[in-house]
Amino acid sequence: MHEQPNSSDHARHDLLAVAALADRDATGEEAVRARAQVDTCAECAMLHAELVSLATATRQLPDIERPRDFRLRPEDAQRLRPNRFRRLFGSFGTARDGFSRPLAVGLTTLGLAGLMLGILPGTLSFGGAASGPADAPAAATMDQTLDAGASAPAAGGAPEQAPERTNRLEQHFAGDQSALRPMGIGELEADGPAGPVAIAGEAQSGTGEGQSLTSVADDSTGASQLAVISGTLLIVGLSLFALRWTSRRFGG
Amino acid sequence: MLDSPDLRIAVRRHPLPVERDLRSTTVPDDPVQRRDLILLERARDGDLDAFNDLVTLYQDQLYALVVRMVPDRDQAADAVQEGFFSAFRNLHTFRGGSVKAWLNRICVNAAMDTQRARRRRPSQPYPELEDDSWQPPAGEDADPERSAVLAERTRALGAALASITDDQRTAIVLYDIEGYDYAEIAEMTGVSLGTVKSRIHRGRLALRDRLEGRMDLFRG
Repeated sequence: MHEQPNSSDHARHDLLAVAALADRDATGEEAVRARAQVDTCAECAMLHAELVSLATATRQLPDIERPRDFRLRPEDAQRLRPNRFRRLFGSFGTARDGFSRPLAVGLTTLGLAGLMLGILPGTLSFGGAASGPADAPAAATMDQTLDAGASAPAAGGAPEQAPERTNRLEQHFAGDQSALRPMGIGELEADGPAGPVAIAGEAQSGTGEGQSLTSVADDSTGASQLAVISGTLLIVGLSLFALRWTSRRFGG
Repeated sequence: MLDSPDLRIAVRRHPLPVERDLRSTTVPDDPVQRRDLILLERARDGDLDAFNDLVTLYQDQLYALVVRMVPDRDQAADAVQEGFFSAFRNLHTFRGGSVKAWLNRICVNAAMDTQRARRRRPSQPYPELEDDSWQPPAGEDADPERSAVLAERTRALGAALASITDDQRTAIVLYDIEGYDYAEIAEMTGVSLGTVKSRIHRGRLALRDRLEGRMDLFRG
């Protein structure tokens, strides 16, 4: 059972329940509690009476005279009549359009995911500071190769191939075109900006000099294609969102 | 047969091509609704006078509603005008039922947009809503003292209504002045039933706080 309300603790009474009772909206336990408060607490009883009076007075508020005529002029009507844009996109972005939003969300998500897949691995592969663990052995191998080449004369007992490769690398960087002639097809593929990486790969694998570079080039091409497609999807998705917003805002 | 509420016909002045969306409307028994539907169908066909007839019929009532929600005469007038513009633009979206309720809904939305725009901008409180047009009922039995009390009560209540939150005021105006029920207000304002009740009850308590010391105007 409810504790019997006391007039002395009006501050702790549930005034919202009294307001609900004044609107005849209180039901069940709330109604019982509010009725008990109103019956036993003089302030709650006064509040209840005043809220009922206020509701009555609000209902009796007189209408306020309008300041102007709201009829439409012919030029208003001309401006507001559905034009080609409104006819085309009239329902675009409205509650009746259940197609464009999921499509926009899907395209944007695919575009973002594709961009991340296409760009991040590329960044990890070719970025110096951002190189990932997968590239670390290749870089280390190249460093070792260069170091070996530099220290070979001093050490005297270095493997025979190391100075040769180092010379080749130096010739590449020095732009000596004649040094390219004796190189094989696989070695020629190592020319270009990714040359050092290819040489590192070659040093790591020990066989098939051109294969690793070819796969890097393929990956690079595939990644850029993915990035282009994903970027397009992202732009189309965002454009759909923009179109929906424009249609809702200006399409009426 | 003709009086059947399920009978659906297209209320149009001219026959339309078959391929066009007839969007037929249930013929109501209420002559006012029937008149409204005929005007609306004519307006859909491009008859501006028919639309303006609807405006003439409802502009007083809609302004009275909106000016209580947006207690600034100029902003309220702009909101009502925007509501009628929106109604004209969206004549094709009317799906039957009461034209009056449809116009009410559009103008309530316009008023809520005005409230939101006002909230986004730092601005002064609403100016006191003086209603010079209202005069106490005249007659032989009109008591000058009572008329003065009524006028003062109207002014005090209007000022108190303008000082509570937009949400509370909207809910109270729709409930008390327009007579909508909780569910209708919830649908109109896009909130839950419990929120509507809470806004009305808290709004009434806030009104009573604002009018503390003047409640004698409302007794008796």
